[in-house]
Amino acid sequence: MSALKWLFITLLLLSPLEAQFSGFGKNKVQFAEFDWQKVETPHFDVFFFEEEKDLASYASHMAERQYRDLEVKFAHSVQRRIPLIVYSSHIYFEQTNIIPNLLPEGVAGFTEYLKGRVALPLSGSLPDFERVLHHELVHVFTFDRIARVLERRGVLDFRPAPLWFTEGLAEYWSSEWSSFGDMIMRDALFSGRLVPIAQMYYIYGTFQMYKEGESICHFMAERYGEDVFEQLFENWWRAETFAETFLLTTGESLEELDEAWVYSLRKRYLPDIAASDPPSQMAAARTKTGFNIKPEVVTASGDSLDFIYFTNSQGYTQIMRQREGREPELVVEGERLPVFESLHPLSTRPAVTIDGKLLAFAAKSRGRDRLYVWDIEKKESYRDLSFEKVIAISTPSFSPDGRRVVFSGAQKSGLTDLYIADLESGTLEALTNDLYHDRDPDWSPDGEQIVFSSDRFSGGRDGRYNLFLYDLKAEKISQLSHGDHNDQHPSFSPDGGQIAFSSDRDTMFNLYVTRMDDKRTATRRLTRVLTGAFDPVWRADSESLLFSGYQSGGFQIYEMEIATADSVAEVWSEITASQSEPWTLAGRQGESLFALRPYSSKMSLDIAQSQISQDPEFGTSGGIQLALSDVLGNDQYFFVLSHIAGSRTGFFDGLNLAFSRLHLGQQLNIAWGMFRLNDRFSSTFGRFVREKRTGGYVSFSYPFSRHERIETRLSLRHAEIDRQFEGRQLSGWLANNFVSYTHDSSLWLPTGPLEGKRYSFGVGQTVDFKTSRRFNATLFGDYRHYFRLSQRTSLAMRYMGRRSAGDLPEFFSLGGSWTLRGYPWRSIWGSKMVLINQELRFPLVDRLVIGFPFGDMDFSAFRGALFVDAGNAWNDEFGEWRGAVGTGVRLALGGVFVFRLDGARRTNFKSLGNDTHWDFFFGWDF
Amino acid sequence: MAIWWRSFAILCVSLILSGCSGGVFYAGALPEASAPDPPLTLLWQQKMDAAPLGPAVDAGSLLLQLSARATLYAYDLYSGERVGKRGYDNEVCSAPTVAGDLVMVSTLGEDAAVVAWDRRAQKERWRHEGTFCLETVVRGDTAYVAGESGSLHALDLGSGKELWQQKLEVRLRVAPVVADEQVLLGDGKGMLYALGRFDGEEIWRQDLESGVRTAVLVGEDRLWVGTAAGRIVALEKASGKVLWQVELAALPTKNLALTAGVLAVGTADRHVYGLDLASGQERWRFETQGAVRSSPVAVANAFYCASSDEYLYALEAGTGQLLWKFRLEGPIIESIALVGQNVAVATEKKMLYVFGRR
Repeated sequence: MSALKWLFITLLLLSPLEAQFSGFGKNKVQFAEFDWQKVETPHFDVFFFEEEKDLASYASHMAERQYRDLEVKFAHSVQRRIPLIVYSSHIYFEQTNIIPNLLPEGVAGFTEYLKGRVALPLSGSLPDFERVLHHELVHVFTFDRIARVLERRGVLDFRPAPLWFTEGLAEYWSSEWSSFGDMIMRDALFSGRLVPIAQMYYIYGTFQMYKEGESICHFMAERYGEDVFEQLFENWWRAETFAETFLLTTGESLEELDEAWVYSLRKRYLPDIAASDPPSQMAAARTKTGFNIKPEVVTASGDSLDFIYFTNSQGYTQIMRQREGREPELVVEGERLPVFESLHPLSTRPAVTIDGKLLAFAAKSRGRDRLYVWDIEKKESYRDLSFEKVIAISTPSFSPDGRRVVFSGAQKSGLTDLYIADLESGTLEALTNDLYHDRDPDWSPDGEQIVFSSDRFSGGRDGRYNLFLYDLKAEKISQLSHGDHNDQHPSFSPDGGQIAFSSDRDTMFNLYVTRMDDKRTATRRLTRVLTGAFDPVWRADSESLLFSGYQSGGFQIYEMEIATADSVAEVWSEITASQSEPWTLAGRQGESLFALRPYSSKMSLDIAQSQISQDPEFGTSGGIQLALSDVLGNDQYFFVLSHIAGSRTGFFDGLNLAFSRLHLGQQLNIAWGMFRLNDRFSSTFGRFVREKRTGGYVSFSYPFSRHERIETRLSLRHAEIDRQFEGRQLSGWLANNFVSYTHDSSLWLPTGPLEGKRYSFGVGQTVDFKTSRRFNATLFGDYRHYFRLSQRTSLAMRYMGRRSAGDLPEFFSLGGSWTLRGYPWRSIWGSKMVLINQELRFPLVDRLVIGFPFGDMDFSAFRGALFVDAGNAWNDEFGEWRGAVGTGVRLALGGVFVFRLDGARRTNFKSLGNDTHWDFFFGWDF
Repeated sequence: MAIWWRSFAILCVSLILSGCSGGVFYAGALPEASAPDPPLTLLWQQKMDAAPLGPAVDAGSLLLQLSARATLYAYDLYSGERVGKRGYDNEVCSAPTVAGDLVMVSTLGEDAAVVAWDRRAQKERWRHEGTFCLETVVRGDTAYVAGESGSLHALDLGSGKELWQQKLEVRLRVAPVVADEQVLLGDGKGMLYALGRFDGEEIWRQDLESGVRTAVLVGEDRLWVGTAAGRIVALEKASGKVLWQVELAALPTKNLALTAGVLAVGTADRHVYGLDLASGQERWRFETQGAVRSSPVAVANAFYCASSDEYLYALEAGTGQLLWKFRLEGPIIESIALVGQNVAVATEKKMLYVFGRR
């Protein structure tokens, strides 16, 4: 549960409602609790937990080395200690409270700017961890360099760099240009998807933006000299925009840079079309829409094409089956339920037994990965295994008899090795146990060998992967391929005589086949792909391969006949001892030179802000807010102090104080606080209630998974309530308790939910603590279901009811853009309420550019809605249903604001009114 | 004794003018004095309104220091008393240059210009419009001002009247240097130009392959210059022919320093290097604990250098051995200055320090 949500709860205390209604939203669950420690290096405080002690030691040395590198590049020393928080797996990383956001699997690390913290996980490869750390430290230096330049010039407003530049520079200065960079740029150029600098917001935050940014930074260094970046930062104070700073630094506009950069890309990449082809021109596409990767052939089907694959055409990752002549068939529906919270489509693949009956895949469930073995025909679980020792699982492969599965697994320490799981007994055997990243294992058809990809050779230190063979009888590893490139995704042919794999040895990722007999050093390249070819698997007849091909910004599955492939023979030379020499890292256990310290949850400031306002009705009011937290974000404090000068009863009566403490470091989130508030509150039904309240509260939230949680709150307060609108005054000690259950598995577009379900129900009551007199008891339920009709169209339904009874019941309101349209904002109210909404949501205009009056104003994603609403709020008599039908448009701006315009006509479901009620408001769809 | 009387007089005036924008910026000239060898004593320190912009400037018995927030301070060199303070209306973008009575500073904004201010009369003498964010260089009665966009202007020092201009259409990143009959300019792409001092006509050019990032250091018949790639190059003054070059692989400081046959340069990789003047061979290197961006200065047998690690160091010129160091408040980015018999250095924490011998 996010800190923001807790803050929201604190602020809700300012409202006069007795029972608070739960908001939706997914949960950040602390499935694992850690005993945190700290290592102090000259420039970093490295935070880690016991099991990842070695990782922390490696990270300490890496960080210091990279600090020196960036000190030179930026010509700048950061004058503060940098907090570095390391996690041994992405699963643990997703639990971080440093930022409130839910972290998708694509996030490899982040830099947070309030406290300047860097957080990142180890995702198997230590060299890759080092690269991500380097990337994040570029952000730290960039931010600090700009901040110091602005500070010395007295510029108070921070002038951030555009994201394409900061991420591009971080990529450029943290790693060499890669095959993936070439793949993205070539594809963007050839498919007409290259986005110019001025329109980079179209691909904001995407991998393409990172790679375009990196490409531009490369080009800038070539065109203006490597020190152009240092000069840009030095001039940061001189202009308010990046474009101006760029102009006065280089003498050229961003438009001129853009034109020259695109031209350079054309010169570089256009000649490639003569000798290479996109996947669709060299192979037959076997999938058509969406994002489809990691095919696995069901060989039992013989000559008929039959394969399993990951797809994400609908926003959720699913495992599908494609049989020749049939429509794709859903096998496993992922990411909707806690049991398959993530299928890790980017890092793993499915596996199928030779007889085609069982499917193995890894999925995240309740804080760790589990190995699922699935009956393909019955579409139900056959085995469900988890291992105490292994946190993350990827790339399973069945033994020929289907009784065992080899996979790549990460321990709590973060180190990733090969394991064999026995499906009957559930026992686990480790094949490797070292710091190298062993991945993509594939079991040979004779059951004697396992081929895998690993960085356990000299080039592995630079993040390269070669192929290795594990001999199960001899328990020995031998190196199969070698070179300063990446060989990955090996796959044995059905007869075991050949291995297909993907490699970037000729710059792009192409498919290769090598023989497993005495001539196995003879290898053929099968493709000359313009972009990239990955994940090859053999069809049963060994005459063709299925693979994932990248084209037009996405992946599809293709089939290529080997005999017709434009293959090129390549001979591997013998592997020398130095090439197979494994590498080591500074900082191995016992080598650390840095000081170890226990973790102390020392608080530091996150936010401090003050505000003074004047209102002709309420007088002068002012206040301050403070937020503090520890470096891990597990303990958070919020203070609010305000004063309403308009109070007629003296200074202290106008004083408002609230304090909350949140503890988020465990699965059960706890918040408690105290408050002393005296103010007039606008109630939900538009009338004013003055209440003086002093008391405290404690609140618990227990998330079972990312999608479900139960919440409860207990508060005790002394209240003096003046319900001015009805002339009632009440006072006493009030106890309020409340419990609710919330489920949220919705999938969103920028304007609101598109698919899935959200529901919440709960009950609460408020009683006079002394007399046990019940002030009110409240029940509520809210169920929303979103049926997806096509890629971007859905039918949304909401059923909501609330009821409050007692001496002082709560009131609920209807009316306005968020509830019952066609009626003014909160114009209908009562202690009972029902609401039904049916809404068809659809894309309207994908892009709208308005030239007048300020130049090009570019809006994207206008969406439309057709709706029918029905409901009522009442006290004693229900009266009649009130309804409205209408249409509306939605516009999302910057991922934060959604503007909504609804036009609705009222109806009593017998006739339709003549007047159209227009409502312009903001907020996401329900 | 005369010095003390002068200081007393300046102090009295400064007390009268304290709190005002203005004060004393001219107090006559003192005879040239050689800078001291280490160890030094901290004579005084002052807090300014911002970090320094450029090194302190020797103005006779006064020390002038410009701040990054466009305030020009005047301090009595001996007592450290602030005797003058002047704010510029616009942002300034170059370190000040003092020539006689004139203080020349480049300002930004709509009326961007090089502004020559008469510190004795305390009024603006002339201004030359344009954006010239590189320090003005004065030789004889000519001021040379250069803009980043590659224009070089020769101005009459007394009137500001333009004598000639040369447009190179290149990006300049360091101030020009005048050596005998030449004006030396390096551009952002690595071309070093020697132009005629009196007409701006090109005498020679040499491609150094990486942006010129240090001011050219002029010897009797040689020049030394540093590039963005960290290459230090020695050239023949008459022809521009490269005599030797050495790779240091990190951005060098804005200025090089020379004494006792050793060329000293600081780099962003935390080091100060001592190079053999004749061959370019590395004689020594001294490691600090932060990026070195503050240019070293030379005295008879030592170099003074400073680093982002907040230390002022004195190194033995021949060996690079540490002779003395002093911890200051804040990292040091701007260059050290020799002011009279003293060493002045200002930090990013707005502190100005003057060291010398009592």
